[in-house]
Amino acid sequence: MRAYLLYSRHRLGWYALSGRQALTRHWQWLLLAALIVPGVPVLPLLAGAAQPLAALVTPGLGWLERLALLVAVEAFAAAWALMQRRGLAGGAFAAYAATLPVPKPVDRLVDLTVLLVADLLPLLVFAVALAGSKSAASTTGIVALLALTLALQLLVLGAGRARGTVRHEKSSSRHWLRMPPALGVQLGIFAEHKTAVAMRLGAVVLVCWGALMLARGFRFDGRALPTGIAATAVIDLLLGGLYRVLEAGHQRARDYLSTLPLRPGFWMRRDTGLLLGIGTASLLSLLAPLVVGGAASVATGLWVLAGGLALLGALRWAVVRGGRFAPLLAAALAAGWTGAAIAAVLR
Amino acid sequence: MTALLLEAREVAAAYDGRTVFAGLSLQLGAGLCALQGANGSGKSTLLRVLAGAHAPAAGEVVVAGKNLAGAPEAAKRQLAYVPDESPIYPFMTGRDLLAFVAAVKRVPLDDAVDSAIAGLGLLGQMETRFDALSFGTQKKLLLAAAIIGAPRLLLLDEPSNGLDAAARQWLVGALQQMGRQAAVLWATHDDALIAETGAQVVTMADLAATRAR
Repeated sequence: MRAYLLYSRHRLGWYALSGRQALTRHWQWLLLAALIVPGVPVLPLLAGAAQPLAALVTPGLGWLERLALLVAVEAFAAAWALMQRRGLAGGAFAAYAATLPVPKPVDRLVDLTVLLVADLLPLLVFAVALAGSKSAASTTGIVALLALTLALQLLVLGAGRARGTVRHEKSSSRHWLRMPPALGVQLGIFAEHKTAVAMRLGAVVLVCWGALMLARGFRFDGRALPTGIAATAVIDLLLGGLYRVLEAGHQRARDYLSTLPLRPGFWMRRDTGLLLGIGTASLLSLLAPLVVGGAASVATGLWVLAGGLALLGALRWAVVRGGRFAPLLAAALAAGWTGAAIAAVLR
Repeated sequence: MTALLLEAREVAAAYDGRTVFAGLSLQLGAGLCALQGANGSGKSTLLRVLAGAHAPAAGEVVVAGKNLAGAPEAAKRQLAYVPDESPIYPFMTGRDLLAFVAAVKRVPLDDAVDSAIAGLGLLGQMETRFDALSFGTQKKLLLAAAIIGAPRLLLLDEPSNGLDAAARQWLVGALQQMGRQAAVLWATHDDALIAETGAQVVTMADLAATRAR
């Protein structure tokens, strides 16, 4: 019992720490989300999320629909657990604890305890579904579904652990080093932070797609180009965050790198160059359809592209040098640029 | 005849499908044994496998008669492992670490541990968080934790790394004392420590050759 209490306390501490670090890293996005959606109706949202669970235990549902819904619910639950696997797996300490005689039931119980804390939101959804349950059969069904979901999450986390990919957090970025040295190092850093990088690039694609859908909705009229300019600034902000990822990667090797005969500003030039390359591809995929749709002339499109790349270059200063004010500086820079650019094209 | 405290048979290890080593065998009774080998030869991985921190891709490990895969709890009750780099959560203190290890091993923190804390100069550091401790102090705490429960097998990864002169002197004495009752295997590049303790030396190449014979 004492071993369980101590081990679960330390594991929950780790979960809280890694969760706090993730929140600290992404607080600006949470703030943005809260600003965009003020007064979020929490209970209706939970009730809405509970509907698929209630539907799963409704007698009238066909087996194919039931199967599809079950797969969707379980896929979401697995993804929810995997997103938090760093905190759930217990870090390097769990590997050290594996060399101690922790009884298997205690180990499993600690895993389940941490998972239950991590599953607070899904558990609330299950609770809402249970509260709305109208028969004993559906209540049993929801409880069985909860047990299946937790078992699947433990299985998914356990599979990762067995492969040694979760607890040992081994880096497999070695193959990047075969590329040209500077690019290899940069892509290696990205590979080490693949989730964060993929989320940012995914968000860039979504912003592009969303802006183009809006422009199409506007029939490429006078509102389309300002929309494209605002989207350009948001894309720059998203890509600008990658400067921090690269800079943190270089920081770890700073002492060693400073012993090498590199010219001053070596990484500044290369990191900016890499992100301008990614930025060019991203902005072209946004601006080219606007030009083709007639929302902007070729000259205006090129002007916005050049301005967007200049903003992306300038964002390095805000992100890398801004310290704790970096998000604020970056947002101010992007907002100022957006206003100036819209004013210029509307003049 | 000395009782076998560690028996590794045809052990293999891999990370992400990449084989680190294969077919290694090793038998140890009470005494001191230094494990040597080139960088990247798999010394640390071998210790992790022997300690149960990394599952072997093949082969089996028996600690004081208990199979590590078949009876992990019983086997791990008999062993202690000190990694080269601290795996301890940043928010834990030295006191937390020792309390945790003692609780898991279901043994009290006895005089031997108190003596280790004093000998390693840890008395003023026990309430400090791990992230505020130096590398050497973290190592000392892991060494003190390794003594808990009088293990029959000690697996130490570069135990002298980061230690000051006084702590190193303590380590030499502790190794010699522990070697009378337990099998002590440590990975090291520290030839002076081997000379001071009079440990036998085994290399990763020797262990591979065991298989070939």
